Amino acid sequence: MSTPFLLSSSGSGRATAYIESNKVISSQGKTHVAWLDTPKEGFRVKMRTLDQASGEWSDEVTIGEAGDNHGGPSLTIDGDGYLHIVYYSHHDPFRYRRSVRPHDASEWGPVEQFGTDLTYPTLLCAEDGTLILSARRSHEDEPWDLEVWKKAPGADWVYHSTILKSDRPNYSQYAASMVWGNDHKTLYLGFRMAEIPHIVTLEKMFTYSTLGCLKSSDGGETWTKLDGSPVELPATQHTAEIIMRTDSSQGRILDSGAMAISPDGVPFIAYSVRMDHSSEGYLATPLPDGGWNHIHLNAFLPTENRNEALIMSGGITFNAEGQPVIVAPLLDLEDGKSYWGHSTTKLVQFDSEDGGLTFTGKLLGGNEAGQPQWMPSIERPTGFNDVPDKPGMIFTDGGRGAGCDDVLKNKVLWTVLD
Amino acid sequence: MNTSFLLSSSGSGRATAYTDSNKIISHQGKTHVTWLDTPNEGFRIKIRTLDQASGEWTEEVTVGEADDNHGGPSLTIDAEGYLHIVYFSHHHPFRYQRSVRPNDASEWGEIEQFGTDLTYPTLLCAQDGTLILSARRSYEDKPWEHEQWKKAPGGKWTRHSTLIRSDHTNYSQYAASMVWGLDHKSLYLSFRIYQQPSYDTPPYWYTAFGVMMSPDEGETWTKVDGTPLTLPATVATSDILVNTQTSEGRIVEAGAMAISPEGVPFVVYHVRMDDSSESYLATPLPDGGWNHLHLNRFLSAEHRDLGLMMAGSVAFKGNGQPVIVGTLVDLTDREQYWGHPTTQLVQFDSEDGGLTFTSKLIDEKDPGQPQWMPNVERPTRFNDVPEIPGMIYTDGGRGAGCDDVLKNKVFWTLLD
Repeated sequence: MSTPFLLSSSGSGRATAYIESNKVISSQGKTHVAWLDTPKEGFRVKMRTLDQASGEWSDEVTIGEAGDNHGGPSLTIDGDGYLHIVYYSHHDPFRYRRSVRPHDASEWGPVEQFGTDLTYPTLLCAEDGTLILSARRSHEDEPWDLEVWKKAPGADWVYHSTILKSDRPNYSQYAASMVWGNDHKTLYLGFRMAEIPHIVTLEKMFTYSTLGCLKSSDGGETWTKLDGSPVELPATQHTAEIIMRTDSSQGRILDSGAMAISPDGVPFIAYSVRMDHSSEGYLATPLPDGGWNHIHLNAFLPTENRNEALIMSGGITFNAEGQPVIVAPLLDLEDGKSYWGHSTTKLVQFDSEDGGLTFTGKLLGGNEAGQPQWMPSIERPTGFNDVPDKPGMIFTDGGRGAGCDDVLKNKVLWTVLD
Repeated sequence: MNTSFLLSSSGSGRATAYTDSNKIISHQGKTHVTWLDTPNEGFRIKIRTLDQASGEWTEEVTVGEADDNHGGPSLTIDAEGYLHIVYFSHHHPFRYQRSVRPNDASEWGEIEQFGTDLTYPTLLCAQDGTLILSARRSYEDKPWEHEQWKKAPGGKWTRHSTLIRSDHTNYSQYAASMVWGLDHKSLYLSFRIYQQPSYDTPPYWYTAFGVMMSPDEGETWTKVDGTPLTLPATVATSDILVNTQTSEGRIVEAGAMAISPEGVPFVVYHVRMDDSSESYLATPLPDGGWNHLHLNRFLSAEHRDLGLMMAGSVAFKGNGQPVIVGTLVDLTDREQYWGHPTTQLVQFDSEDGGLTFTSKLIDEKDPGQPQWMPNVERPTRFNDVPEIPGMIYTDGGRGAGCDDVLKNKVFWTLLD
């Protein structure tokens, strides 16, 4: 790994969190990165831009405020080079801005607000410039769901559909990762539905978790299973394409990362099955006749890290050779402490030379003892960005903090996955 | 570990299979071991006896015939030392015999048949000498079940209850392991329900692993926390530790359970996928739920990437420490795990009551021949499990179908 570049020393406890929200956009020799900062005045969405030729970074630009540590940004770019960003919300309306000039993150247009009780945005740009967003919608009195919103060029944000809905009341979260197929018309949505119908304490919650996938051949107008079987909206864990499901009574929780589409048009979805003292990671790809192939990723860890827990709240991307690259957190759960922000958390990169049949794992390294390095957010295609031959990534170096409102001084780092 | 002793060179493809069926009984200086043999004349139940003092083994005795490679025996002993054996069936009535003399496997009484369409017997003896058996019951036209049968001393075998019922029609299997609690009144039954509702290709399986208990020798059954269960229990009503299905790329399998000296149930299971298999030791948590200890992490670096399967056993040594035997398989070729030629036996020992383990391979194996189907002696009430428990296992391939007459090796060894 090239030496990470320090973007900020005042990152939030979730500075680069929520891998469903793309935070890196490269286009025409520049790479723009966005994250959630916590300067003294509170939660702020920041951006910096790398000049790829000179290696020089711009100073940081403040895009706007965020409600708390869930309010991190999702970034995309349109065919004219205008950057689009959605941020702010944790059960609130989102805030949206467009860059004033193409390929330039230094100045932004007026703030537009849209939606009700939304969190965790994904953001893509369609062929015609329409922005497509998915986000978790919370409700007081009915199960929470995953909404799709669209914004045609020059128009307002409009609610489009509810594509996923929990079976259970109270809390649910979708960790939805939406990507384009290679035709830039087909959409894939990988999701990890976490349903917590009754929150006793944060340490003792009963969680139902389900990993699944949906596909749309028409830019999100209609949705199907991967085999093309129509799915009535909102889909549920009973009607969507399900890869795995489990619950706390089995001592298991699923985590998943950002999905990617291979150069051959195959969806690659990484996930992990976490238990109190272990976590096994898998790469799932659809089988030709239905079902999924699951490749066990822990087997590719470096020998000295073989007994550590691999948690796939990371990302997959494809490099210029068309080979998959996976980055995920790795930690030692032997002490039985909470995995979230565990001080042993570090990043591991898996590289393949055979299209994802086998991998070589290596630690990205460089973290301070007792400080987690985590929340890797890799650049992924969102419609019009040019993912470099060696994709870039931002990640957080520092602790989780207390609650959602803690103002921390975490490091936010950029690196290239070479 | 002592060098393994060759009991037979004509073992069946499933000579020591089905951990649900205890096959070793030690009592008053003798250890009786039984397995499914395939001499030229067909499937035969054999038994040999070890004199613990001299280390000498008797010649083999033929107890009876079995229908196919599913017909292996389950063995127990009563308070007077009479041996009891159930065997033969794969969707048939069982055959039952009692030894003519106490603690002597050389001669057996008349055959009694009982039940309809039964397979996979477990066999225990209660305090009053009543034999308690559980077995899978198959049907033509409704979901298959796991039945409980009892035989009072001098009485006939009588169907007692249906303990578990599948939610699906057609094939199901229960891999049930039944053991006594420390009071010898409570029973624990761990089960891995394997449900295959259709025989279409490729097959589709639902697998779940659970535990139930009875405070009164099988008269009533509850969850482990004492919550009453209405019989027959189902996946939906039982204490389920893990539940999966083919669409998730996973199959759950389980081994024989044991009760610790403190009365805690220890159950082992694995989650198998095409290229990996992760194993766990599960013990109940005080406030409900289960602790799942990942066992693969205790494998040596050399074997760390092999699939670990818990179609084996947990037992407790004389020092009160758990010992676990499972199988290791190299699944990187994604070939069929069942009878995979790389299959070898691995033993896990603990010195801290099962919090951590060290592992070692059992015996040297011939390249290209699986060593598998470990069957460890477990308490069935009146046997005296030695301080170092013994085990039998099969060395050789699976064969073709259920009727293949093979020449596998059957070994005895001690888990020292």
